[in-house]
Amino acid sequence: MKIIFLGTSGVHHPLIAANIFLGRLHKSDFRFARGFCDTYHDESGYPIFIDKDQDGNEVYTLGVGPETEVGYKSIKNLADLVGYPEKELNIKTISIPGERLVYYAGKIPKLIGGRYINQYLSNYLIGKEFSHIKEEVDELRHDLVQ
Amino acid sequence: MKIIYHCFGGSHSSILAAALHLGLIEKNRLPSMDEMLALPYFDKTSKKDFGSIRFMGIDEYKNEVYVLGKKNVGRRYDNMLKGVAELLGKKDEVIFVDCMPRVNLGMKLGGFTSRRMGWVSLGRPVLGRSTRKAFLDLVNLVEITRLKTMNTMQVAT
Repeated sequence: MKIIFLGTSGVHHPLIAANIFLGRLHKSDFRFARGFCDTYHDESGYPIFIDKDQDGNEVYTLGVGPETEVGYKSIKNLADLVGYPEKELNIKTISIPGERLVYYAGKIPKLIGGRYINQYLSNYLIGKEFSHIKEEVDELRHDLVQ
Repeated sequence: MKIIYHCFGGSHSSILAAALHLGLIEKNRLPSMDEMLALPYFDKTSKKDFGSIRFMGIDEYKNEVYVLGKKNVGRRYDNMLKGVAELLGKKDEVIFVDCMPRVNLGMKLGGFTSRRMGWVSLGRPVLGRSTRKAFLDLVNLVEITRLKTMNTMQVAT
């Protein structure tokens, strides 16, 4: 099965959710999670492979920009169109308050301190919503078991 | 093979490109506004259609042609869809065609006024004139796409 954590960016809250899902993060100190805030990897828009879980499911993150609903709908439609089995694809949208701010902070040029602004803002907003992200991941785990 | 033409609203340029691809509209003369309005979905979509891949028809080579409105996601969307298709192992079965580079400012303004603001009587004349201006660019885009699909089919056989 392929699991996609979808959000405004593939290197912020969806990445944290993917790491929680893979059992790599238990507390809200996620600053050193591999690839966190690395907007270079997210620029192209391609899905980012994170790892496989213990059941062999491939875990990805995908940043679709501010229009997450549009992105979700298109991916679902595309999977139906190419006849991909519904059971083999799980898309989980991870949404937090201020996610657009995080997304746009990632667009600030490095020359004027964009990297620090991005990291500072992301740490603060995602840290505040860590328990909510964890709940979303638990919900997905529950859905997968059923 | 599946061909997906996409633009901002999935309401104008992508519809016209898909119609040209399917031969629903002649490519060697400028269409009238009535001819364009007779096309399925042309200037008729709403907010709920954003993100939906809608079927337009099947071309003479049995390729399925679809349209999609992606809102303001930009070039990123093309890569996102390509990436997902690759992830699903269907990369070679789908072609995504971004119509936005062929859209002029008048089409954007007319489309916005007609669809987003709901001022149809104000937006449509601007849209009609601007679409006719962009028509040959869209014809060119469709011709390139048709060649691409033919190449892919040749490689496959």
